[in-house]
Amino acid sequence: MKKINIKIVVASVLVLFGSVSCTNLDETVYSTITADNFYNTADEVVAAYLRPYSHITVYTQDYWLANELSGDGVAWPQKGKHGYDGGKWQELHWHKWTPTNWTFWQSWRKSYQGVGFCNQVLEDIEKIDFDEMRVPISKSTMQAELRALRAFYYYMLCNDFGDVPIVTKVGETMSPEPKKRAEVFKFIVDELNAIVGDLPIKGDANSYAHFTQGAAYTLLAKMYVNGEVFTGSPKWDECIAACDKVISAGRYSLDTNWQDPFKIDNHTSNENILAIPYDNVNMTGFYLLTRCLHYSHQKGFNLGNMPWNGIVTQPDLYDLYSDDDKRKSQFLVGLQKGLDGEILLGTEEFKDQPLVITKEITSMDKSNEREGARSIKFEVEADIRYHMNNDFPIFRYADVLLMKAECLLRKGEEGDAIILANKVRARAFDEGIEERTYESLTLDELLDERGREFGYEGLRRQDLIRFGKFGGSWWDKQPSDKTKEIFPYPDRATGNNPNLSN
Amino acid sequence: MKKSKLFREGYFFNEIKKGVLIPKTLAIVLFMGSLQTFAADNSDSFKGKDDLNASYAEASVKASQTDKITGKVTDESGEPLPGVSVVIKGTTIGITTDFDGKYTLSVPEGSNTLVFSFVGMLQQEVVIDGQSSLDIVMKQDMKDLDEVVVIGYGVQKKEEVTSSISSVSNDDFSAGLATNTMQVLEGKVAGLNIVRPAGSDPNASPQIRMRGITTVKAGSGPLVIVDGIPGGSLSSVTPEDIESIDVLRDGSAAAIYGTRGTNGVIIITTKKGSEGVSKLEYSSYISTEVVTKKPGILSADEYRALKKDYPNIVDGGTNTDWFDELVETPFNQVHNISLSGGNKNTNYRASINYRDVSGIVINTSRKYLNGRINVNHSALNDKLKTQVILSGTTIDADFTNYGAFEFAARLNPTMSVYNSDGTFWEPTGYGEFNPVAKLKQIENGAKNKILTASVKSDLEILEGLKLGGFLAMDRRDKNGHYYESKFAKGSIADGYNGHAKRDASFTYTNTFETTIDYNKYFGKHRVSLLGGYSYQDFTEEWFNAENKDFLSDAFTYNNLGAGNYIKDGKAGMGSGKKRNKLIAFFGRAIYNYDNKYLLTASVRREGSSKFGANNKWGWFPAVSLGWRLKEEDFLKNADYIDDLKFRVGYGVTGNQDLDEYQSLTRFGAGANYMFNGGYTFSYGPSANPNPDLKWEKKKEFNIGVDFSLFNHKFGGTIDLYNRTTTDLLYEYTAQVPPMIHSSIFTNVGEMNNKGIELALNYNVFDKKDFSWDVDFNISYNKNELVSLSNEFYKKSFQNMGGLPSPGNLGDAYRLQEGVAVGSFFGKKFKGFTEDGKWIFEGQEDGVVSDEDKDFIGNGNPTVFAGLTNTVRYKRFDLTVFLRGAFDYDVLNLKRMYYANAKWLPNNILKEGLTTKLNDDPQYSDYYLEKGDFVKLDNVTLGYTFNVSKIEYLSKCRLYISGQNLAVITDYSGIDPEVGGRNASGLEPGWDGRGFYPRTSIYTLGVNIEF
Repeated sequence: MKKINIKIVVASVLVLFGSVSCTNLDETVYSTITADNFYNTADEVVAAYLRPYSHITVYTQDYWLANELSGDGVAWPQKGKHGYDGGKWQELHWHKWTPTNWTFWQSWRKSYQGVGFCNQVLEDIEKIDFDEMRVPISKSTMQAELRALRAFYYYMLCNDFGDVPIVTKVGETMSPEPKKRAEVFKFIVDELNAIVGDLPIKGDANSYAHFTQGAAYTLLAKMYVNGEVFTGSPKWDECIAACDKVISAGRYSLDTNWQDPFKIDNHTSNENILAIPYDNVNMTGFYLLTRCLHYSHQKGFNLGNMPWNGIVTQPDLYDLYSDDDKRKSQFLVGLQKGLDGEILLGTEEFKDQPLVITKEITSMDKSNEREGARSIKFEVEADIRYHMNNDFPIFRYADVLLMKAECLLRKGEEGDAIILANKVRARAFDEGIEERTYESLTLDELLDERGREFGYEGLRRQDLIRFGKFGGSWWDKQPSDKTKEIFPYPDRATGNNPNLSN
Repeated sequence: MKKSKLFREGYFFNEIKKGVLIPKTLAIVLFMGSLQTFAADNSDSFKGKDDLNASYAEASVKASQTDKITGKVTDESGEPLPGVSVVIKGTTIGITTDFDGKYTLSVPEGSNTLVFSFVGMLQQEVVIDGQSSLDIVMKQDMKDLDEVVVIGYGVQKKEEVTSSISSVSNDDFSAGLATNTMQVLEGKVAGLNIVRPAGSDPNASPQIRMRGITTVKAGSGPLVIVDGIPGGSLSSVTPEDIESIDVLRDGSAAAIYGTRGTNGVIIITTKKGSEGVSKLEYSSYISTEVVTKKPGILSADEYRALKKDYPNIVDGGTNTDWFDELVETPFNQVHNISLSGGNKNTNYRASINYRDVSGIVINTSRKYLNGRINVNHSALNDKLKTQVILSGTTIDADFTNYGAFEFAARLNPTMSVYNSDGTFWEPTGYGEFNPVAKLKQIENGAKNKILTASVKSDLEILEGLKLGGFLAMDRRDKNGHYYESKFAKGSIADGYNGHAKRDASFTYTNTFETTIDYNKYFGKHRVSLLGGYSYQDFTEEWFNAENKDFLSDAFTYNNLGAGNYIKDGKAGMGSGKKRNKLIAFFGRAIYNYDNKYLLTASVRREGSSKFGANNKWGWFPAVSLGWRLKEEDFLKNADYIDDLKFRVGYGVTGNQDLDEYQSLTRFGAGANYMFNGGYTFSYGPSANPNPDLKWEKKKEFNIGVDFSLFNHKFGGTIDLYNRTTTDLLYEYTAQVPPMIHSSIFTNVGEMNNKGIELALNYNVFDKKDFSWDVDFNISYNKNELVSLSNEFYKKSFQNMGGLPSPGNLGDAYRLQEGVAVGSFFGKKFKGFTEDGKWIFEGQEDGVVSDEDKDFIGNGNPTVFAGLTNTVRYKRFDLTVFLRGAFDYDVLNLKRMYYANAKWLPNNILKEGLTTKLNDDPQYSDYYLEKGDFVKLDNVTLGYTFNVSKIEYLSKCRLYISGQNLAVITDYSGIDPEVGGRNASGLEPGWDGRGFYPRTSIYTLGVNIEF
């Protein structure tokens, strides 16, 4: 009897617990996508590969703000009670920033986010069979583009913060140590040289707004032209060689009109080597005009939203342009009228008075609603809300020409430099105007020309540093220390990484 | 006393042949009767088994010669007691008393003692000494009344319990309108705080907190177990159907529930049928409500009179009391009908509960219908016991709008509700609305269903060894609807011409548990072992859709496709699904030496799919010890002590109440990007993975004393605890690089709660016609947020609780290391200037900076207390229940904004005209008030009719009840019991501008048993 009972016990226990072998705690996802249930089709692979690209908006946002507002071209002064924003714009202008400046943190984290997106896809696609899945581009091209794009994000970090950690795998390692700026420089250059041959060429089906060979060589040229700043030793010849790769490819040329690269439909520009394909519906995130224009310009230009009356042109930049310079037409100054000729009115300090914009600005902290020339270098489009359709040129052929000119000039080859510089300058003037071309060219003149040509394109801080002028004084800014040439690590980045400190 | 009813009704008598040897089955019946408390719960009935064996062994004693003895057994009130076991000592010869409490027994020669036993009564041995008649009065065994408490996965004799557990039976529930089941526990259990921030809003959920706040980001509600289903729905069970609620308060008790034990465990056991008692019960009550206090705003005439000083005041020419326009006299009714009965093998209970609560606010109501069936069956000679429970609930809710009462307070009282053309008058200011229109022009409600089914089986395969299986399904469907009329202000202002929404969600939970338990006596040692496995999965699906621009209001929310927005591509829709699993193995050992030294040790190994890959499983051990001093020789003869027990316990519990998938790399959509010349999707990681994500861990140490003195006249429980939560979850700035996103949800901080709880009961009088019992409980809790930082993740403080516009008044609260959660942080008021401008501390240098601010109060009460007086006089019963909370502050937002003439031309509080203040509102301790209060929470007077002469009626009681009758407080607002801005407990003491009126509730009820 006892024995039978024991058998029953054993059997019962087996039935009850034996069937209960379930200890699987893996998560099942349904309306959520994870790396595990993704990458099933070619479309999904393509979507993953586009994610680091669609993140590039940081270039025209926080990175742009830090690199333009700390220079002599563009400023965001406080107008009455508006535009103080915690003092961050004033700090940038006066070079009195601290690691807490929100712009630095945003620029840092978003640039590294771009790096992370690239790292994620690079790792994820390694095990995917592109042929079997019929992915419409080759794995080697995709990898090359992603590595070039990652190099570009590191270029932004190197440009802003100097010594930065190099991370090529998501999550590894924790608390990464910063590498010397020269090492970062080498990493970027080596990466680009390693993959440039696998990149698409302008004109390929999938080349617009992607990292083409032309874009990679332009980025190399950018690295080399700043080589002295980044590594301590000049790289003029390397820069010239990279520029020549772009020039000799014969696929790019200056647009006829100086403003063509900034038009609403500028994707047809032959001058833009790498552009962010902004779109009011699909690829949103470019709202420079909302930042710049006066409140009343909503009515004036029939905009879908009210602008913020924030960013204006410093008198120094405005004054660089002669009256014959066609590029000066980008500025809104004087009495403002709407498209229908109606006079626009002020809404703040000059409420209900005609809106007359002045070139002069009182100061960074005491300005008013009508001070500071507004730039409409990027063509204004009516009826849209915030997000502009103009693509943003990261690299332009004009820059390639001027970079090469600069290197030649620095090497003492003034004659060849002038020829290149004049190509860019001549377009801004009607024929017959005397100042249309340079007869001689100094570095200072070249820096001014870069200012005129590349204003509002996010390059000014870099150029000022390279030409040794960033510590100088202009408009409301006093001379500043050379240490200001590198932005401090943001406090939020140093706060949780013991290996990172200012 | 309820538990003894089946014998009183004398169910088994038909089987008994007078004066013969008791058959084995009857012995079992008798025996089971005496231990019915165990049997009813499928519990540790080992003690009984042991005795039963003894009976078997002695069953061979034969009667040789007999004398007859007869008698009558009554209880202390003289009522005859049927079903009392009368056994001749040393034999198995015996009988039970009949309907009239009478017995006749043949006594064999040599036997001279009768043993009378009855469940709930003290056993008596009476020497016969040749008497032929013996009448006996049985005395109640006080100890027996609350014999067992429900612990996790079983029951335990109360005297054996070594952790902190409170048991509240149905008899102790508050009478009157319960808008939520938990309401019946308000103020009854020390350390368990239940607050209804929305008063008697029939659709609002209470904020429930056990022993303080243990978390900042994970869930703060206790684990509710309804008839064995962990995570069961409180809405699926009504107070009328509940037998008892057991509250596992400390860590050593709750640790058997592992990752869900931190906030305490509330175990609800519903009523079952009883052997031999067939009855039909009907209980019903109707209630109405009266507003206790309205905001002290200006009347229309007072407002109008200000026009000469404040020219921007517009006199609309009418006198409107906006508040009165929003309330009605509600008629709430509740009906509960139940049938129950059973025989030796099977018992059942079926009930239907209907609640129709119309609420005091117009267009606000809740209709509730619940059906519940509970069937128990025992087979295989009582070795296989099976229980099936089925419960179905439907809820039809019309939601109120708290914002309506904000505008009732601030709108111009001289304006009419309606324009002359019959349309609603609407204020023109941004965000302003006519509250009557808001409630009448918007239909916002839901129809919900809850269905639970469970089956539980226990098979005794060997003496003392049982296998158990439990299978349950819980399904909840929510079906929400919303329609805003074409003529509503929003529709007209934004030109969308009507707005219809539907939203549905479906949650289903499957539970499977197996247990094995073993009970054995070895002399003075008793061992009880339990092992088990638990599996639960939780799935939620949801769907919603909305459309706007309708031709007609006729469709309301019933024809979503008819709106124009879908044609314009502007309609909205969404859906989703998520799922998580909890799997656990658990074990427990209870050791009892001579009822003197007690040990309970348990461990749960539990994992959740929500945890990160590196931390899927956790250990949750607990150990507790008890020492019953009363059983020691030195107290054995101390008659004034009935029981005295010291307890000490330590337990580790977890909190896994966080969202799914947070440990994984989730992908989300970026902007569409250019590919092959056109725009297409981009998808990438949208959040950082955290493979280390895990439960919050709480370690709790508890010591306690249970005592009962002077023949159970005075008793109580004292508990001291110290609970520390580590691995607190919060959002932190992630390391970027190497991570992609700048925020990570991770385990970092530490929180501590210390406290003391005291529960006392005192039987002031206990006479036949008059008894008076006093129950009192009080608890004190001290909270400290110990840390929010570790090596990588740092956060020294976090502001929260943004004050509403107008004005940029900032945040009201600050979470800071070393400070209690729920602390107000702000300026300190010093006075007013001559012209009524603010003066704050630290203002001398021109600005009141963060350094000048301070922690100026805390909204979490540290002390809660409850006092119940129960008086019985003849057939009357009276319960008076007082409840209070102490030592906390309330931020009076109504005063902050409305008690200020700057608020004009909005209507203002009368204080706004008398105050010295002549400045815009600023947040400071000026608006913090002491919230301490005592409420006369419930007074119930009942009368039980004598139905002994009415054959078909076995009980009839009529009662009236008043709830929330009076408040003693210094607080100037409507009600200091405001709970928090949300349920988290991080923003407590927030008396917002929007609210639900506080009411006194008057109830008339009847309970009838057939």
